[in-house]
Amino acid sequence: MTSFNVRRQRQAYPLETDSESGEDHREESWFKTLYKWIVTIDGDVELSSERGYRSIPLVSNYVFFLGGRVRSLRSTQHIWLLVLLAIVAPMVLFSIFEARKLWRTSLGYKPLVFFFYYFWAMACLFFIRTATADPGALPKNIHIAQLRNNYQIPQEYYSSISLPTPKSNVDPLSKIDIRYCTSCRIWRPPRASHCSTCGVCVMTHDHHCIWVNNCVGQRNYRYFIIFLIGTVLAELFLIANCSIHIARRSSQVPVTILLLVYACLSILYPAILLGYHVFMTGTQQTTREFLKQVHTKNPVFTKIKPAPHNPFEQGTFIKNMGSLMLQPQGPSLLGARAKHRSGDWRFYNIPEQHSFQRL
Amino acid sequence: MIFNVRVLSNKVYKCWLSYNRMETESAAPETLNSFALSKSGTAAQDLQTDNGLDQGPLFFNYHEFAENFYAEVESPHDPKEHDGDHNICVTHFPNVFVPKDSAEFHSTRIVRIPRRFDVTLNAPYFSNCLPGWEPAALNSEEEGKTFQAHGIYDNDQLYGYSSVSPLSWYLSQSEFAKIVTPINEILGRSYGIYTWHNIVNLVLDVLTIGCWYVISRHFFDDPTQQLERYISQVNNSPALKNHKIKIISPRRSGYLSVRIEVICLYFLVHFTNFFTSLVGFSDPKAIALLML
Repeated sequence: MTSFNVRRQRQAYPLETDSESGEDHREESWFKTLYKWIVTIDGDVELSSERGYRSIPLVSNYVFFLGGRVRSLRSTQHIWLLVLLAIVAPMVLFSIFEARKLWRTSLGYKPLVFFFYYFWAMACLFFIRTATADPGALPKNIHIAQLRNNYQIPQEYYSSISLPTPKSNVDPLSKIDIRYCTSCRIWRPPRASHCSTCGVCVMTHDHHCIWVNNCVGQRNYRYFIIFLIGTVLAELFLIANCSIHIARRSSQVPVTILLLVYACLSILYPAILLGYHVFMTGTQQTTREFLKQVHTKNPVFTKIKPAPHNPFEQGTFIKNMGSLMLQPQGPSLLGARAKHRSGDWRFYNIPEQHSFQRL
Repeated sequence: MIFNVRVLSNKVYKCWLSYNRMETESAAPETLNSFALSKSGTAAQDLQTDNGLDQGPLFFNYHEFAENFYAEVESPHDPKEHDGDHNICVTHFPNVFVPKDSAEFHSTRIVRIPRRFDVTLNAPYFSNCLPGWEPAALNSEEEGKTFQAHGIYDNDQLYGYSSVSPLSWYLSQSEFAKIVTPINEILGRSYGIYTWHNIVNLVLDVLTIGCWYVISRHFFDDPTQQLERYISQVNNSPALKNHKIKIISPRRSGYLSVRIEVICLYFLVHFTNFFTSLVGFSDPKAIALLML
């Protein structure tokens, strides 16, 4: 039985109560192993060493499926299922009522049909990848300062620290601000942020997207952008296909009209969102940084301006876009498939400090 | 001002005092670098903004912190408050890479090497300064650049007055820089945006609608695997092996089942954030200090 796997935050208790050695293993029934492989919701406090997907749920709000290959979040409204339905439904209708008729014409419409399916598949698969991939979650408890007073956090760790950047020599106001995450007990790298919905800190945190039920961060931002591009292009080809069909047969096309109206309406949100991300990345900002800069949660009709003294500024719009949209994913730092030994501190729940302990 | 007044530490307070003292004495701005501006780039910036100094924040090891309630080495059972000039500087930390109830946990400590951001922001870049050699490190004339224990704190651990860590016993600044520089170079290449690896991967991933991601994992190494090989190579080099020094990547936190049977005091060097190394040693000085 593990000595380190403790109950979730609600039931966290001091680590000192765990005293057993972590090397012994408990026999587990094959049924439970299979069940946990299919879906891991709460983690398992009884296993000593396992793959990440059995332990990460202990310290975060992630749930895992298929042995950690797919992740989602618990205790959230699963709007992403509606989004998936909204992506799949037009393709099904198009396949039943439109595709065959357009494909069989000898007027060269086959590429239009092909590209609709291609970009639809791109949108659908990259939506699933955005929703189920590791956004760049950072491990916990890496920077524990001390053992005394129940892992007390020093006063200095509550401060925002400013450090020099490559531009500090020419611009003294160019600085990197980093903070210590008192929940995750780590010094967050620049642009990382703690997501209370996911319960972890995420690298280059863009935003927590309720539509994909996952954070959009360093490791899945490119998937998110490809999903938006794929959606917009698929909708454009759907509009083109439906328009051609209506032009050729002006009667008996109710489903075609329905699809055309649906495509015209549903292209708006991803297109606007994609436009926002183009301009935000072009001005070297993440969504979170942009909202912080404009001091609003409703950015509609807000002009996107470059942030002053931005140390990440690359000089040109295109370079800024490239540096964010093409940023390398890097390895998963809290891998759901990676094995860990028993007593791994990353899966501890260290109680948060009371406010009076901070003074 | 980002700094919260309530959490201003003695050290920052000392910054203000030192700064004001230097202002009074008409000290040259460059003399502020080492001590007066240490521990708070933010405070430093406010100081320079208010006073028109042409200098931004300076780099320091943000993991270290000061403590004034500790026992002196000469009287280990008598913890008490000390004045601001005699704060100890906590430069090594619990080893969170081994189980809490293991023997290694009690015989090992971590010296954290922080990331710095004044060279590049495109890839993780670790400080190539041995702790205590940073531009805004806390320095002590009494200690110099070699760790000397003055206080006992946090489960009988030993600390000095300055930012210098016990790692200074075993590695010089140049030796340390030689170890860290290739790590930064490898990470710089691995996290390069406009590299063939990154661009080709992305293009093929898009064109194959994600199939390339599944296939490539079985045929091509992640670029950061090169770091693993380098760490393994450095671990076997005489410079580290003679001091029983090892470097371990955090990607393999399970790797910390170190096969060392000698019971001794270990220090672990932790390249934060999230690329880790471990340094262990057995040395009569260390054991003697432990016995104190």
